[in-house]
Amino acid sequence: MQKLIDFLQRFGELVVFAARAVGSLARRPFEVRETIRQIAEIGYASLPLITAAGLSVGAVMSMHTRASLERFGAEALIPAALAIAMIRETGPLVTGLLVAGRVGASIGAELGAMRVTEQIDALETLAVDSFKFLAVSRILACMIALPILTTVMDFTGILGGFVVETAISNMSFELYFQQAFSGVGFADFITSTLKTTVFGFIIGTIGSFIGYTASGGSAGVGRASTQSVVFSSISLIVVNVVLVRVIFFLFPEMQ
Amino acid sequence: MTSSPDVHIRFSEVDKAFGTQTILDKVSFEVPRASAFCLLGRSGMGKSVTLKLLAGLLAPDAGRVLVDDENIPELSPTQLSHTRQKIGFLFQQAALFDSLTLGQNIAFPLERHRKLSATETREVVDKRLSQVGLAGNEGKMPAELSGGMKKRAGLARALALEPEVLLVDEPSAGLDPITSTEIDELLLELKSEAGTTMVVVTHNIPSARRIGDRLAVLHDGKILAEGTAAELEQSEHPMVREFMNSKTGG
Repeated sequence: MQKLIDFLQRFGELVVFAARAVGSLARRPFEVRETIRQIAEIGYASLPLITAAGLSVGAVMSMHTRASLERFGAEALIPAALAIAMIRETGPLVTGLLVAGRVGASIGAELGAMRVTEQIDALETLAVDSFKFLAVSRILACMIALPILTTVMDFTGILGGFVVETAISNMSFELYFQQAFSGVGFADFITSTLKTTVFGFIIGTIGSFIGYTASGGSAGVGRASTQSVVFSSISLIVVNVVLVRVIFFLFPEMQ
Repeated sequence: MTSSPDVHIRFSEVDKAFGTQTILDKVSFEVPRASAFCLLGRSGMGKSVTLKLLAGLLAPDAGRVLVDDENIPELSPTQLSHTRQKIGFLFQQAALFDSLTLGQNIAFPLERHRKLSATETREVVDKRLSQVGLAGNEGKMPAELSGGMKKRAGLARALALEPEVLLVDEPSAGLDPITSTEIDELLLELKSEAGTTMVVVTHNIPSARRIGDRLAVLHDGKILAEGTAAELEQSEHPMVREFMNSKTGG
């Protein structure tokens, strides 16, 4: 029972933290420099991981799709099926989970270490709003970086599919991409990619919250890192279900 | 309640507890401008909490924490930010930003709060590093520094904005006697030349005798005795006498 109360109390604190972050987004100082630095740290530094994952996922999905569609003589649909799957769901979700692993852990550990070594207190004594400087800048950076990384994941995934297709069926680059995008609407891309802004908010908020409130020395930093990944990944998967439902409600033509 | 112009810091009837544990119980003291007040006491008696209350990092449960007649807990975030620019804080473990070089650590508050050119900022950084005996080390990362160097670097950062008040948490902790004496001399120099008001938390009695104009012993949430080093040595309280007569204290 006590564990449940502790969990609910912690969840309540997280909600207050998230609300404070949302309220701070439009309030000065905007910490533009730190946000840009974090976008580079979170976004640019994640590109190799996202690119490699995108190519691999696209290639594997292409092989699986071929195995299924070949039975019905529908190989021509492989590019379109792959593009729809990548853009609508696989790209956003895989990107979110990869970033939750790489960035969530890093935010949790970095802020946790800053908390236990009094660096966050030091920021405050230097008349810097540590919440805005550390947490809000990271949350905003995640919200900006995620859609960009998802776009990279989508296109590298489709490219990975092309590599497999051209190796098996000798399909040309032009034909492959023409077929791939024939089944994808602008709404597919926009809704699914913008959905990852919410993923970015979740990853940034949970990582920042756990790191910012860490305690207990180096063990506490380790815990903060692990908890950030676990909670942001679980939250992301659950929220994704809700967001898909919301998208289908707002854009019935996508069902 | 208004302090006399000579009183720079006034801690008035302050209570602070964490959960059921009382840390400070109606603690009061005053620190005149350009003087050093040393808080002595065993570990866990609320000395660092007192410093954090003065810096507005913690809020008291009751009482007033006045710096320049401004009650820190009642300040708005903007006012607190303005007041904090007048307060330097040297943390026990220095709390240097470990992702920044030494030079960047010291430049950080200047870039945030002073409209200086890059050259002017570099000049201030060089001046502060020279002041603490770390000239030429601006490119080093905190992880490359020894404990004493970190402490001096932390002091250089705390002094970057030329604070009127300096809060110092355990300046001698973990340092060899020579480095410890060097830091004491630096603090004395600041007090006499820059007129900085200081509150110093320490276990080191020789250091407290050197730096402090007035000393106080904090125990079980209360100030047991307050006065000059000579006065405390004559205290009727056996613990105060024992504390003052120990070689290092604590």
